[in-house]
Amino acid sequence: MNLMYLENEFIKLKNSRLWLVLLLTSFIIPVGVSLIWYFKVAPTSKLTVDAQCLEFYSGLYNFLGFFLQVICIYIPAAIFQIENKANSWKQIFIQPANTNNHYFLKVLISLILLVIFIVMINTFIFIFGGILFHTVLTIPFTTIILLNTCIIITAFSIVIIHTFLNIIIKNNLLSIIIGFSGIIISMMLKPGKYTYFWPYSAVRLIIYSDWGKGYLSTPAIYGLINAIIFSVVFFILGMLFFKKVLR
Amino acid sequence: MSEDSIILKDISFSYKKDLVLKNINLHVGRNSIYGLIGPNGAGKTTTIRIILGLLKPIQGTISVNGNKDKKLKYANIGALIETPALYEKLNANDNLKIFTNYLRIKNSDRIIKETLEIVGLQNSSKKNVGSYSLGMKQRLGIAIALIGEKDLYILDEPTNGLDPSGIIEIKSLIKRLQEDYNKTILLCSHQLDQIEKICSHIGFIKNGEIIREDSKDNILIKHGLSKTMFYTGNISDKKDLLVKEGFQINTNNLLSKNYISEENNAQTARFLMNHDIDIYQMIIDKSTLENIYSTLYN
Repeated sequence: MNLMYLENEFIKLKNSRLWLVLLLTSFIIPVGVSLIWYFKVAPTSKLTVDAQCLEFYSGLYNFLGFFLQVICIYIPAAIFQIENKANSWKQIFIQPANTNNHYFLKVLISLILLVIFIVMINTFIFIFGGILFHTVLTIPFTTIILLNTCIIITAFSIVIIHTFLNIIIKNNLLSIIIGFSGIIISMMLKPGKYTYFWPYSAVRLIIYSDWGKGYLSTPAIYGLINAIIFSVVFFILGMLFFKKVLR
Repeated sequence: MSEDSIILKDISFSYKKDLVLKNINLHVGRNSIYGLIGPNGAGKTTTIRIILGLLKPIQGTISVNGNKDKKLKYANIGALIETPALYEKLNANDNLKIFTNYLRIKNSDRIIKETLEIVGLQNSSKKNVGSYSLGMKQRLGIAIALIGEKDLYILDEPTNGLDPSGIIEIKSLIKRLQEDYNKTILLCSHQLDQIEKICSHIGFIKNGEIIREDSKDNILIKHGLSKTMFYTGNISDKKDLLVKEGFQINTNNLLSKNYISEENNAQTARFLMNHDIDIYQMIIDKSTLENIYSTLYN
């Protein structure tokens, strides 16, 4: 795949609302949670500073669980909307490049945006956590890396599913509605034996794992494995339908 | 190398169960401007999409600049398909940059500038395309088709939404591409006068079939209704001779004959004078594409 093609994906995102949504979400969540913590929770908390710090980060990540799912739904919808609105699929497909390359690019740019979002939100979380507790070292660095890697893997499965949905239904609003329904169902499902079968639950299972212990719970592991399976299956389905539907 | 830039042989295409194209045979000669004419739903756009490799026919063979089947997209074609593909939140430079990148053209700034000059958008290159008028968008769509050194251009309704001066500019641009740069152009348009003025070859498509395909001159003469009319002296005693020669006798002093060429008209005039028939006036009533279209599609 040519780097000039990847540059195209970034050019197309110029002046896109997507950047604003990513920046605001990654900024507002930590700011909001920090303020609530500082003014409401911290003054009444009888925990030690270390325990408070752990609670704070845990609260932030729980909050992130919901917004991350929304972002995972929004990223492919925004990317596909740009092409749908420009009516550019046919013009792209007649360019002298393998059609699969265009599909890989859409997936790749979604992954890049997801990683940018995760990095941004972690940066803000640790900036505001650091301001509140004067330290960020309560959670070991390896745990943070493992947690975020798992989050990216599970969140990416939602991105891939929604890339596929945007291809076959060609309607970004409908794909967002389907996504929201998926999230609501995942919130209604009580964490149990089979929760991990529902693709939208995986991110929450990862986040709800007891990260204080530094390892993943069994449902989270199953959720992670399922997310990888979902990613592979929907990636292949998306590739098969990409040109067939959009030309 | 073949003399034809595009060759479609016995192409059929069906959409679900409807046979949209039936054994289409189409030949677009190298360095020609070929006009494809037909009413809505006749199969023009489907034919174009097949040529561009966007649709796969159920039978037949396609060759575009010597490239076949899956290699059609490498056939060096510039295309404007239906409405132009434009990213409205970007400016014209960025829109063109995207397509130079797809063609892997490095240092494309000069090419972008030149292309914008050709279509007359050099002064609006920094404005967001969303603020463009319909005509400006159409021009930018043509600019996208022009990017890169293409041998063949496929333009579907290129003058859609353009004002009269825009139409004149695009027409002269198409002419220039063929005459100065030896490019081949396949043009789809509903504006018959436009096709008549700029195309060298014409194909008529009806219900998924090419019903006529020839050079414009042949179409206008052979398939047309062009006539040469002679106002003459009295011819009542020479009617048999004239009918034998292929004249239609309208009245005792008005003859007409199917128009073939200027030379043929001279010969006909000489024939009449040799037979002591005075010619007072000669009128050439050339048929237009519009007449032919009406005859073929009604």
